[in-house]
Amino acid sequence: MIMYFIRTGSILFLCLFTYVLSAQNKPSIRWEPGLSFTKKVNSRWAYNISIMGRQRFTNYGEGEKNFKTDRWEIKGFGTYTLFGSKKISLGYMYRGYDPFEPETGYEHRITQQFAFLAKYGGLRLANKFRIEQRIRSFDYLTRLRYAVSTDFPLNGESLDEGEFYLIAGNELVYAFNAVGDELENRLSFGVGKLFKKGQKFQFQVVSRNSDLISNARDHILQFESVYYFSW
Amino acid sequence: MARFQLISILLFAFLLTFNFSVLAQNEGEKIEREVSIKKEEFPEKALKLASPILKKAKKTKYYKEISEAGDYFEFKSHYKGEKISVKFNDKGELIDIEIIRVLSDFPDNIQKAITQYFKENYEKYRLTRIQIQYNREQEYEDGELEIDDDDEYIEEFLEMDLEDLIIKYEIEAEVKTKDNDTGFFEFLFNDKGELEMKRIIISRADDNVLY
Repeated sequence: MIMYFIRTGSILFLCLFTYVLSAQNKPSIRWEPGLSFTKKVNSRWAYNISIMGRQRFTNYGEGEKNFKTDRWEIKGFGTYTLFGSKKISLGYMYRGYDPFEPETGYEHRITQQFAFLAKYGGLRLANKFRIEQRIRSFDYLTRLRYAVSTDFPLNGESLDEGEFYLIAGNELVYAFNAVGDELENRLSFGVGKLFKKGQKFQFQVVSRNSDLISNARDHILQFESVYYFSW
Repeated sequence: MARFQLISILLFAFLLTFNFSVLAQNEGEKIEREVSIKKEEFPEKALKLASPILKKAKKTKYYKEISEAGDYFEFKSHYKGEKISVKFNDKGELIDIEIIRVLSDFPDNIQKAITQYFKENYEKYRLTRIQIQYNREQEYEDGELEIDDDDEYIEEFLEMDLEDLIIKYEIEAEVKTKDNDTGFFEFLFNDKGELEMKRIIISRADDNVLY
């Protein structure tokens, strides 16, 4: 089962890269580094806070260089665990746009989330539903998101210290406001390592195809690297 | 500027509130480290002993389990249409044999005793993994403790000589206590359906799939 996922994931990843390199319109290349801290208070409650930034390298289309830090953000979530590995969360995010540019912007985001996790041996499947209210300096937007992801250790059924794991997922994001709507698909594939109990690093590549319901297509290839602390 | 100061204060407060102390390990935690190994790394004595099972087994995977109690070796296979795991110590001596089952496979009195245990002790429960465990017979004869050797033990298992094997039931379950706590535990019941051991299962952190 795990080898099947590794093979399928690798093939998909190679296909994606081949497609990207040969595509007429080149994707925008970005990198998002981040830190995440999660405190499990008891068997029911957990809190998370994370800080992320985004570095843009190129624009979509001709692939011209556009080297700038286009945002930074701080997020907080409170999560309550229900019986049956179901979790409900409420989150708030503050995002600053173009922090080093003459004109900056901001966003306040409120998130409601319902997630349920299932385990099949070493493989874990997570389903995540989100509703977001995005209050931005220039407009307001509501988003509905559904994500499915799976991660599994590469050695045995349990993820032990010093071991690597793979993660893959897909997310659909539908955004709308009074002006219009937009559908985006985010396909991701990554690898992580548990350094020691409560500390892991994850690197993944996300292929974002946006504006799927209009002709104004956009493609972003985003590299994400996050160091997770949990205790 | 005021905005950055506010965020810095919030972050500092968060880090102070949630100090980085490592969680003390509770008594009865299931702490094991399992690594995949090649067949060649498995104790030769164990492979020889288990050869009647291995000959008929499919999709066999070999593991080394590192725990506080010592190192163990385990193979997991599909044997006669069932998922089997056979565990040995580092000397290649047989520890136990487990087969994945469903509760309805067990005798009525065992099903009833196990169900009653969960109903009496928990508000809610969900059985996530059920295994029958075949252990080596140990009995007193003429005042002396007689323990089956490895060959007798495996032979009794192959012949399904249930009178000469000690049966136990290993169950992993998610439970909700009457105090509204939830968690995953491993329970071991004896051949009468009485609880012998209970230990908490530490689940993998889900921060990377949740946030």
